Amino acid sequence: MFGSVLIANRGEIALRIQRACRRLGLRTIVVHSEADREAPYVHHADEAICIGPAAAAQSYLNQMALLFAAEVSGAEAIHPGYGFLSENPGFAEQVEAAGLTFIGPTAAVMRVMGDKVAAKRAMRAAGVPCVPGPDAALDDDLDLTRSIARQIGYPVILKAAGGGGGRGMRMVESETGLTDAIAVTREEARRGFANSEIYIEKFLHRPRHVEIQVIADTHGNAVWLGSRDCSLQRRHQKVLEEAPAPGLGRDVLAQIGERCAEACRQLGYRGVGTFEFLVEDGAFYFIEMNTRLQVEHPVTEMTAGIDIVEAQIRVAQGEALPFAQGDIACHGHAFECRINAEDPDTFVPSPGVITAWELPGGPGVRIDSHASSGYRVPPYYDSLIGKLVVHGTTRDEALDRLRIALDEMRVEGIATNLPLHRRLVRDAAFIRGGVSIHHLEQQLRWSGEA
Amino acid sequence: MDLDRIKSLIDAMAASDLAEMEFSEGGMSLRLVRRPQPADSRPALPEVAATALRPSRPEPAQRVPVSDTADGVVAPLFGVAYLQPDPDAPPFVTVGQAITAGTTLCVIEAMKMFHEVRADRDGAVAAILVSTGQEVEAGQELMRIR
Repeated sequence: MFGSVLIANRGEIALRIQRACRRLGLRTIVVHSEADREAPYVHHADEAICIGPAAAAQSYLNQMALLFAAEVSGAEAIHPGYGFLSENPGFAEQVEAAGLTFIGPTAAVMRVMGDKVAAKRAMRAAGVPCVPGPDAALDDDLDLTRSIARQIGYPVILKAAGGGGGRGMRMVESETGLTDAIAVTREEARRGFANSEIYIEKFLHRPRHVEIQVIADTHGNAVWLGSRDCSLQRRHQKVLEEAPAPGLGRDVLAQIGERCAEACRQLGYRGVGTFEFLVEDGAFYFIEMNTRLQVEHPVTEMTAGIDIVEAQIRVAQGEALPFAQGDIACHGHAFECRINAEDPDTFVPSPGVITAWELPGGPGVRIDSHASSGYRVPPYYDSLIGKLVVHGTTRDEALDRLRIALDEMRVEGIATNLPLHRRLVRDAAFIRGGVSIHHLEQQLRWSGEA
Repeated sequence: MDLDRIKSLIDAMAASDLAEMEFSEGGMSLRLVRRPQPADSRPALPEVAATALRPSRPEPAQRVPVSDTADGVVAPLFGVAYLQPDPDAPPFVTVGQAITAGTTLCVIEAMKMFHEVRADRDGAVAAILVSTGQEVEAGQELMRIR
């Protein structure tokens, strides 16, 4: 049981976590870089501590500075948010070694999930469906690799065991390109992830990205809270998400969801997590698990009627989950637009001062953002300045509300991707639902934008 | 803060080589600035300081050729400037270096994306006006090309 939380993050998620802590009556300690000193959420914290210069490597990624800030502020727990140190098992270990609670899974589970080959093995053991291909790293025997690839059937994809989030992958169309592709991918993996292990899988042509939100307590309970479709991506970055994933049978989702919850129980997982799948022709293929809170968690909050961050903190305090699987249902439909400070056509980042900030409202409309008029978006971090989340009783109603909300929203002084979102919600294929992960980039190519 | 206190602060500053001093106490704040004296009445400065001053105040005759033909290279966006590809590498360009159109002059980082700033013509680097890690506004002059 802890009474204070140090929030080791910034921006909208630092504010989101702060809100959950305040609802639970927990003292909040917000750490910030010199660049975030004037951010409004910093001033709302019970205590604010500057942990270093603007560059993330010297502040939000500086483990010693964070641990020191926790010590001097008397923080009893650390919430890592997403990004930065949220999936760093070494940091989780240090936090626990200092006698504090890390709001997340154990370092051991994070290590298994961080190694994509080990994760795949664990998922197969738990009965979670995976992409065809061995759950072992490739060895140096090229003849063996060739026969594995032939068995899977071309095209295949080579992936770095230490990769994830769309990085460290290479598609191979036929056997002639295999040897070179292995050498290049291995070298990239060694340089990019300090781990030259790679593995091979079936390449899926037009999959959707569907994920399952889970939460587990320390008493052996794990439930899944719903599905999300995050297929609208550009360069592996999600742009617009929805819950539930449209057009998939409730029975199929329930079966996959239950497998995920069972995997959590087998792994001794604790806290919130997300199982990511590629879905093609109705079949699910596990790709990776994110062992942290996700940017798009609000769409599941809207459809499940659960404050996921509050529940995450409660299970970290040792409480048992207040609900069982039978209590979880999906009500209506929700969308989330990631509002980024970037040019909607060229995608060039657009940091700077926001001179006008007009937000939409009305039933089913929610904004999670740390920004405001006069806020200066710093150039040091990612471009997410807010999330527009909309809920409706049906997908059509939610989509209608989203269109109106996007038309109402106005941000000036910096460029944002609002015009892109306004186009997306009027795209015929997206309105039908169930587009593939390539849809957005195809649309952008057709309109001359890469 | 009484008059004696202020006098003692003036004396303390006079005895030092401070150019400016700000002092706050009990809600009051006092700012003392040493006004530059006309050159003829200025006490002799140590030789080292006098030499150091010269390059930053070039004679008009020296300045004209530079400002008349040198083009400013400006930042395309608000971000952080980097003069070298990574901390251990040599800089992209140095003052006096001959360059051709397309030469990378520096990199501006904004939100995890790196934008190369390239020369739009042949010439030589006349001046570098920013340093690595410095925040630069869109349109701010980064370098001059002659």
